[in-house]
Amino acid sequence: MDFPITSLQGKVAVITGAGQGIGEAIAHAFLSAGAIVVAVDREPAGIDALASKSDHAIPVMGDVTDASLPNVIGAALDEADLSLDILINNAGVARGAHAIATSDEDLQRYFDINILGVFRLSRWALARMMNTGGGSIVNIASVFGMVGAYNSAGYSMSKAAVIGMTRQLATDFGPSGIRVNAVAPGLIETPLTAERIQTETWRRQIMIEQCPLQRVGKPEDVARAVRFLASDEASFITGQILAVDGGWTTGRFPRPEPLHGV
Amino acid sequence: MPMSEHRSPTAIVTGAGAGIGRAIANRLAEDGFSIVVADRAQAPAEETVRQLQEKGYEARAAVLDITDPAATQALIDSIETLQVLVNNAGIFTVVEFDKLTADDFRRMYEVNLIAMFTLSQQASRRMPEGGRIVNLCSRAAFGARHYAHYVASKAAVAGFTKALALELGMKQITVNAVAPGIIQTDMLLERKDGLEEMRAAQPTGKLGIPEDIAHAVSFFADPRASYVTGQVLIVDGGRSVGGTAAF
Ligand SMILES: NC(=O)c1ccc[n+]([C@@H]2O[C@H](COP(=O)([O-])OP(=O)(O)OC[C@H]3O[C@@H](n4cnc5c(N)ncnc54)[C@H](O)[C@@H]3O)[C@@H](O)[C@H]2O)c1
Ligand SMILES: NC(=O)c1ccc[n+]([C@@H]2O[C@H](COP(=O)([O-])OP(=O)(O)OC[C@H]3O[C@@H](n4cnc5c(N)ncnc54)[C@H](O)[C@@H]3O)[C@@H](O)[C@H]2O)c1
Repeated sequence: MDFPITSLQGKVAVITGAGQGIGEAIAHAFLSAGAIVVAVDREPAGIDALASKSDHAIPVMGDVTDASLPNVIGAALDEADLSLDILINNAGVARGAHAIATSDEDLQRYFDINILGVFRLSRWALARMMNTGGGSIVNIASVFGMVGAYNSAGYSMSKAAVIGMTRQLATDFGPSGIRVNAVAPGLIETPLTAERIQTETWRRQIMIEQCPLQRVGKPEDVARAVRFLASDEASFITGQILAVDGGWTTGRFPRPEPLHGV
Repeated sequence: MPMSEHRSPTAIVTGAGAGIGRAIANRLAEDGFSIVVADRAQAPAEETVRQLQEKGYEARAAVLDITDPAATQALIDSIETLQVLVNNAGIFTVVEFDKLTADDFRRMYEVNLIAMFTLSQQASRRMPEGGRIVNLCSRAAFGARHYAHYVASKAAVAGFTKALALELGMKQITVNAVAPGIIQTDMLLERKDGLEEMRAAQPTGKLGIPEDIAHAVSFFADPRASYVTGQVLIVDGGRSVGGTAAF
């Protein structure tokens, strides 16, 4: 059976953290749906590889903590004579730590990358989109921003802030035709988590074995949800947080045996 | 029935004789499913089937009342390749709280919840790994005036969806819900009063259309949406997100 792909034909999308992991999968999903992708990352290797594979990918090297990044991206858009339809705020960092072991500097880093990095680019994109009649923003939050998590003070706070920002911007900019939604991934196997999944027994037990679907997620699982929310198919959806987590936030500890036979 | 029906995965869409259900049937047919249009109203169900077949899609009608467990079991038994169940059929009445009766409540639960439970149970026993159940909830599940029985039934749908997601997870069957805000169905357009107020209360000044719901259902029904379960996705143009919008 050949399922059609949600179309993003001719849409221009800026994707941060597009060099690897979830961001890279989003970039591929968008390119295969016909979008033009401005792939932003602070590391050049991944985004250059993306651009070498597709004429529709434009690499922009930059760090989301850099206040001039919006101008750099804007210049790349102007040079290619492109408007802006979609912004995907995916770049983010995570490193679990207990609250008592979280220093001011640690928290500041989460603020700078995961919160201000998202807000600054959103503010720039909103202004641009207001001039062109609308657009769509999808933020990558986390299930750790929705429920209490284990040893994850700074990261969880930062992702809860992303969820609050999503609802707030959706409320303010709905009348301008701009939709703002978030995808909250559960545990996804990426370069960020691969080693931790191997070495941390608790993570495997709590996040995989006790997850209702009992597997780890793939970057493509997240990318499909992002593509749907970004597309015109979701034109009546705004302010929503969609978890792609194998049911993890719905409830854990499945019984070892299925309750009904057959 | 053409033989090919047994090869395409089948999607049952209840209440597909009208409004949102018809749009869902159309979208899932585009996605490649063979559609069973299950509705108690014969002529509308056959009209949906006619529209789908005209476009070259596989579809058949099953005229039944979803509150009749023997009829729904017979339907399930007749399908070889059941992949998706969309529990869309539902009823809605406006009754001020003071006038609401226990029978109003029972009837609402009978159709909107108990029939959903029975059909989901019957279908889940037949579905292979990778089966999909998508339930129609409502934005109203989170509170609305003048139909407490409907609100309660749809809040129950949200809870039911989450409970089922946990129980069927081991079988790799996902269970999700779509919660529409105000959707412009024929029924709504006919009732001309209040329409302007409804539009004005929307952040974008627009009401939803059945296709908005159909796309969201299609997202969850897709075999590739294999890591999404237990979600209740509100599709309401943002009306319930802003604290200032009046319900
Ligand atoms: N992997 C998971 O299990 C998981 C779960 C929930 C949420 N998330 C979120 O998904 C997003 C992507 O995660 P991932 O697992 O793909 O991570 P990753 O570390 O594998 O990839 C992140 C990418 O973003 C880039 N990046 C990081 N900081 C940047 C900055 N300041 N400026 C520009 N680029 C920067 C990196 O260079 C890298 O290419 C993050 O926001 C993360 O918090 C991931
Ligand atoms: N229209 C909206 O604005 C809106 C908003 C929120 C939720 N919803 C939900 O979406 C779903 C579809 O709504 P709609 O507006 O398209 O409704 P509708 O009344 O236009 O259509 C419902 C269909 O279900 C069928 N049906 C009803 N009871 C049945 C039964 N017992 N057995 C078999 N078929 C039965 C009807 O014959 C009809 O064809 C419902 O669950 C409704 O609660 C609708």
